[in-house]
Amino acid sequence: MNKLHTIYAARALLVGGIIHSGLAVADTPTPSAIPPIGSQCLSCHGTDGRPALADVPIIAGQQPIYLANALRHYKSGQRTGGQALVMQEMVKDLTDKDIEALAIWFGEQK
Amino acid sequence: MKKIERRTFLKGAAALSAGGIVFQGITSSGFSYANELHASVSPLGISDDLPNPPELRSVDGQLRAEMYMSYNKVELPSGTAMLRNFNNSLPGPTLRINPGDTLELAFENRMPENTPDQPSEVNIPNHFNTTNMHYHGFHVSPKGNSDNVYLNIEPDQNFNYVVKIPDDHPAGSYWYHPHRHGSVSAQVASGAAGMAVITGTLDEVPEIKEAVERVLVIQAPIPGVDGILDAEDPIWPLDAERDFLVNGVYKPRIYIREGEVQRWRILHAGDAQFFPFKIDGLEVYEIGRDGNPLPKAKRRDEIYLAPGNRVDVLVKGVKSGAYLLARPFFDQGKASLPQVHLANIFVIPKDDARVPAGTPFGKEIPQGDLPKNRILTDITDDEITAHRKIVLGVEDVKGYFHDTLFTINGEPFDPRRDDVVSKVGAVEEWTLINTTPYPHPIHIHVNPFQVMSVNGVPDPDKPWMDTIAVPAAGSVTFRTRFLDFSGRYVMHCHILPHEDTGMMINVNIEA
Repeated sequence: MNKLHTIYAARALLVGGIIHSGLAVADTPTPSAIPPIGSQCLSCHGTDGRPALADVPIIAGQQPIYLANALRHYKSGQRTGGQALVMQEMVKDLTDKDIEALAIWFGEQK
Repeated sequence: MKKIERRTFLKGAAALSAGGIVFQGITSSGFSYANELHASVSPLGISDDLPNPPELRSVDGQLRAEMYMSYNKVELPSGTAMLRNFNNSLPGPTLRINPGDTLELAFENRMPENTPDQPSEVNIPNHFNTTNMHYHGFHVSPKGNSDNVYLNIEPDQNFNYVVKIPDDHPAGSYWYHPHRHGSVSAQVASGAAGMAVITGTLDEVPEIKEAVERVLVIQAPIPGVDGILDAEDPIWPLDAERDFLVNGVYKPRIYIREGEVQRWRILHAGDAQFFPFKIDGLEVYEIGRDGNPLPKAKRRDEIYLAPGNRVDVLVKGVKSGAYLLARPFFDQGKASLPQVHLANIFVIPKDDARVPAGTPFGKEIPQGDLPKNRILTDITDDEITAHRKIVLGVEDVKGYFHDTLFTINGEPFDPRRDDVVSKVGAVEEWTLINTTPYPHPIHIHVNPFQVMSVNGVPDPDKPWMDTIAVPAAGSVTFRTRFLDFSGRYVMHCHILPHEDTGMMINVNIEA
C-alpha cells in the first residue's frame, strides 16, 4: 500500500468512524426546532405535521421542493379558492427564506 | 315546566280565547300590557308527551308583555342548579307575533348586583348579571329601543323594548336571548333563551296548516356548578360535559301518530357545541332554515345545527315503534364530541285513544313551491356593489382569559370601532376565511344572507340563513342586501365564549 492509499484508507476509517458515531447518536435524536414563524402552522397541521383535521393535508416528510413551491404559489395567488384562501392568509407575511426553512423542516419530519 | 309569573297589576282584564287567556291592562309601573297566554301543554294532549314551552301571542297587532331575567332554581339530571332564565322558565316563553305587529317588552333585570372586582377589559368575560335582549334573525331596526345589543341593563334596571316587525317579514322560527358582550356566554349557557315565531304565508300552506306544531328548544346547561355560574371556566372547554335538554326536559318522550306529519320548529339555543342530528326510521323534510322558508320541502337524512341555527321540519311517523333523536359522535374541529341521546320518539297507532278527538292530523308533505318572500330573492352577480374578505383568527395573548384572544381581520372586538361601513341599499359579497382549527358559526344581525359556497364548493340550494358555520381551516362565501334599516349592529361567532373573548365586529349601515 503506497502513501496515497494509506491516506485514503485512513480517511475511509475516519469516515466510517464518523458514520458509526452518527448512528449511535441517532438512537437518542435531538429533533431540530421548528422555525419560529412556523408555530402558526401547527394548530392545523399538527405538531409533527400529522393533522387532527380530516381535510388538512399531512405534510410531515413531504418533499421540501414541493412544499416550498406550494407555499410560494399560495403567496402569489396561483393556488386559490376554498381552503387555499386559508393558506393565502397564513403565508402572506412569509419571506422566501421563511418558506425555504419551513419546507426543509416539515420535509425532515418522518 | 314553570308557569309564567305575572306581576301585580292595578287594573286589568283576562278573557278566555281559543286555547289561551287574553290579558290586557296596566301594571303598577304604568306599563300597558296586551297578550294572549298559552300554557305549556302537549300538542297531542298526552300527559307524558313533551309539552311546548308556554307561549305569549300578540293581540290586535301588539304583543305587550313583561319579561325579566332572574336566578331560577331548576332540576337538571345532575341535580339542582341555579340558572339565569327569562320569566323563571327554561326555556323562556315562546313569543308568537305576526308581520306588521309591534313587540313591546317591559324588560327588567331582577338579578342581584355583580360581584366586585370585575375585569374592565372588554374582551375578558365580565359582569355576568348585566344583560340586554337580542331578537335573533329579526329583520328589524338595530337602533334605540329596538334590536340594540349595545345596551347594558344593570341589576334592578328596567328597559322598554319596542320592536316593529315589517309587514313583509318572512314567516319562520326566530329566537331571543341576551347579547351583552362579556356576559352573553354565561347567560345563554344558563338557558336564557326562548323561541320567537313570526307567522305568515308559510303557515297557510294547506299541508303545513293541518299539521300539529311543536316547538323544540335545545339547550345544554353545564352540570355540577355550585351555585350560580360566576366564572367562564366551566363553559370554556368545547368538550365540557353538558346536559342536553329539550324544552327544559332531559330525554323527553315525543309522540307521533302512525302516518302523521308534524311540524317541528327546532332551535339550537346552546352556547358552544354543534348539534348535527338524525332520526333513523322517520321521514324528515326541511321547509325552513333560520326562519327563512326553503323554495320546496326537501327530504333530509341529517340536519346540521350550529349554535344559533333554527330549522323548520315536517316529520312523518311512518310505522309504529320507538325511535331516537340523536347526535352521532362527531368532530367539531379538533374536538371529538360524544353521542347525545336527545329524545325518544314514539310512533303510536293513528287512532290512539289518548289523543282527544278533533286534534289536527297532518298527512301530507307539500310537493309544490313554498311561498316566496321579497327579501329572500336570489342575489345576482349584477347586484353586487362590494366584496369583502373577513378573516377569523385566534391569538395567544398574555393577560386575557386563558391567554386567548379571538379576532376578526386581526383585531379583537372594540365597541368604538366601525369595522364595516356601508349604506342602505348596498348589496355585498363577503368571504369568511377561518384560520383556526375549529369551526365558527358566524351570525350577522338584522339582514339574512344567501350562502353561495362552502370551502369554494358552490351550494346549489343557495340557502338563506343568519348563522353559518365556517369550517375549521375553511371558508364560506355569502351575499347580503342591506335592506330597510340603517344603524349599527354586530357580526360575531355564536360559540358565545368566542364572542365574549373577541370574535365580533361592528357593522355600521348608513342611511
